[in-house]
Amino acid sequence: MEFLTEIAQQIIFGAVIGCVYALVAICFVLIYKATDIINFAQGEMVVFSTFISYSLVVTYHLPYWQVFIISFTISWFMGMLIESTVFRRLIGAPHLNALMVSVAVGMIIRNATGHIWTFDDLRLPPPFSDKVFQLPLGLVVSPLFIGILSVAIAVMVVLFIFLNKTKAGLSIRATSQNVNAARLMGVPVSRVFSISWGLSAGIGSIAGILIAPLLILNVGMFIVILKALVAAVLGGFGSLPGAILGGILLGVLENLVGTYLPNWVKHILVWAILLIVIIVMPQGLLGVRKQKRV
Amino acid sequence: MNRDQYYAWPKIILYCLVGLMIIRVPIFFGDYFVFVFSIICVYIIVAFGMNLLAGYSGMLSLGHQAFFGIGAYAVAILSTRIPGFPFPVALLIGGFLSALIGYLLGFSALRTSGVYLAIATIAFGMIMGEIFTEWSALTGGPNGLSVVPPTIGSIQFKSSVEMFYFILIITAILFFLGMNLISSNIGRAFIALRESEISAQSYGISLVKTKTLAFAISALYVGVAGGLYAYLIKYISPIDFSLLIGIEFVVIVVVGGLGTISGSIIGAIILFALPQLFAGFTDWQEMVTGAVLLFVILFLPEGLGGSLHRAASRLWASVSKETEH
Repeated sequence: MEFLTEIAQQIIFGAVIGCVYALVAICFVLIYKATDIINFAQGEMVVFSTFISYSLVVTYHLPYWQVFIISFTISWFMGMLIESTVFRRLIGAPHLNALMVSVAVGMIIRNATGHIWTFDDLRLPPPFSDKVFQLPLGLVVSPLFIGILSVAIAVMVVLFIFLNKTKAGLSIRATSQNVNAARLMGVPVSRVFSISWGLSAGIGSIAGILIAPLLILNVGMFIVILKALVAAVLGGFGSLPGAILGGILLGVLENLVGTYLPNWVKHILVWAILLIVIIVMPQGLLGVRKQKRV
Repeated sequence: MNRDQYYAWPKIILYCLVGLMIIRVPIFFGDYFVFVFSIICVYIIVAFGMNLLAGYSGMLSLGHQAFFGIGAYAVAILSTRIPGFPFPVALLIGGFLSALIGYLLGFSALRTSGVYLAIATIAFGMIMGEIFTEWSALTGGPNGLSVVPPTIGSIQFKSSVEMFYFILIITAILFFLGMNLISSNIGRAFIALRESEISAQSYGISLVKTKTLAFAISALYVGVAGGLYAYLIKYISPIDFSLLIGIEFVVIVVVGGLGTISGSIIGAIILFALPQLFAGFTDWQEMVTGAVLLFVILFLPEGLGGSLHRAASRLWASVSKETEH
């Protein structure tokens, strides 16, 4: 019984972290669906936004709900700026060029983050109390974990309503299916691109605030964010439900393995999953296999 | 006189002059610059290996820091555990070990390509990075390993000048072999595969053999470079083989120009020699590297090497036109 409780406990913890992975995985997928670019600068964008949140919290002492909104807005415009200055030039360019450009943008953002703030480690105070309380069956949770979970789920719900019920959402979905057809139907494709980038950057900023209190905030945090790429691939790149499923699955798996097996297994596991998924089933769990034509 | 012969003589003279200059380097410059020149040589080998894969075969790998690490750790472990271990054997063991692992990684290129392959190689690089960190019994873990100077028999390369000549000779050998490889049928198979897998296959080029071979040879180069790097900096730790290093490797060939060897050399010099000359520059290096990369991809898609090549041939054409009249 105790063993089961412990497993349940670890699954809950994993699912919470997995939700944050899922949020960042959604960022990857949004940009990928709209512009066909896998944005390797996503991790750095999240870290940059998190440093903004850090300033708002620690320097300006703003309450957290304002931090979420301001950070989201600033990041939104940052995302649109990056899209309009850099990535719009790459529409139709070979995929590897876009990849290397996103790597370059990532390097620039990472270094800028260090110079604007610091290259040292910081601690972002948690947005919710991390005092644990007892649940029935011997489980424990803290308001922090419940808060992370509920914010993450709220963001996903809002995103799904946005994509499925609004006109802007409809144009994003149309563009992701076929850019040319969407353009011919009068969808302002370039605006869709910038909305997708803004949305990704904004969601990334929320994910950053949620995960940073559990980690150390520094410019190297992008590596953790990069794990969300694994979640996106696991779920099937280009599928939003897949990104969520992949994120939660990855979080749970990582936590369970980290508890019962030596630490190095946990570190290797994530990347081993990525390698195996790409080689064995590149379409992921919920993705669609693309057929290559001559 | 055909065009190739027409080009050949100035080129040979130029190479001899450059070679002579490089050999005289230690006399003109201080120890530190000799060290920088040695580092450049190491990166030229890396760039050659990366270019073989990315430039000639069209497969981008962001995990080659792992091969660099395999070569470096092989050299470090052999040279410290077995005193007097001959360096050519250590370098070859490191090179062939990474070639073997590169060969195996090459099979992933049969299942995926392009961006997905790049992600798969990131995963591979991260896994190897964790192994370097966690297998502390062998690799010394995060503390790293110190490396004994290269030894063969009673000869030991200790000073930075000896080290420079040592690395220079190996670079020259690898360069010579690589140039021949590129112009052989294997090199042409790589290029054919890059242009179109399907048409290459229809000409009888084996996808399996060629792709895995490209990975193996490129891993061999990077592995040997890693071994030289270990000898050169005398101390290695997992930080030397992180994802960021793998990205730097790709940046060298992309900035220099994919598919041009001169480009790789230019890339290695620009990105790794220039920073060494400016003190206090290291803080900004990443931003400058990123900005250069961004600029090159957006405005000089052929890379610096490719653009210079074109400018040079335009100049050459105008000069030869003048002489015809």
